[in-house]
Amino acid sequence: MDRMAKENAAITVECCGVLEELCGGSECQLTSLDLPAPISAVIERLANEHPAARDMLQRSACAVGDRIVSRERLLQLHERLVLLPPVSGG
Amino acid sequence: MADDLAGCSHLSLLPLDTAQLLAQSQTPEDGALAVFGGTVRRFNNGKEVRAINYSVYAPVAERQLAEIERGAMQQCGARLCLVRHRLGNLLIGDLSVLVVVRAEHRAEAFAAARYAIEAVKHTVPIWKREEYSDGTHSFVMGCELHEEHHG
Repeated sequence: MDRMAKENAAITVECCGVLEELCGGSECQLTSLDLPAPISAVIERLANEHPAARDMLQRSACAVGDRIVSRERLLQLHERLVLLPPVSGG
Repeated sequence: MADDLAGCSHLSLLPLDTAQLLAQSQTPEDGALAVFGGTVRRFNNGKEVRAINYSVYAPVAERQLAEIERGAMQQCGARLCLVRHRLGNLLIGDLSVLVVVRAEHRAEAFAAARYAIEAVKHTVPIWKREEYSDGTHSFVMGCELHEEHHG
């Protein structure tokens, strides 16, 4: 990926539940990523930017679309990663 | 949130309609009806609750609620299981979740209702944000989701 492409390489991360507070909003844009990148790397980048969210990020599941996915899955350019902290429905 | 719920049959911002679910599920073959409802209660962990805001990640939640209904029927032997969850701001006493089960006999109906509500609490991406009478708020920390529950 050349430098200009890397600068434009964005991932949108949707933060659900308490992560919305810990990450400063319901959506984060992460740029300048080396894509495709494993979800684990994207989460580590988010944790570095929002240290208060680190513990909760480790307890969160990941989704792309309507599927729960593993942290080993590779994210492609412009994909949307959704982070699902511990749930409390009912 | 309303836009996110377009096409969702298990999730609603509107009050849950128990009578409607009972009417649509009734058949002459069933001898048992089990209904479970979850409501917003006034106290949690010693704090007085004023309201609860329920939020959701709808794409996974909708699919998972349908899977719970199928699981309740297949694993517990119920003829029909319907699960509905309300979202948004709820006040004390409001109905947040509703499970309606129809079965030939009571054992299957009770088992399916318990299966369904436990599965909702453990596997559906819905979050409670409690607002307290002292002006503070807190998210309820429940169960971590795992990939193997969402095949």
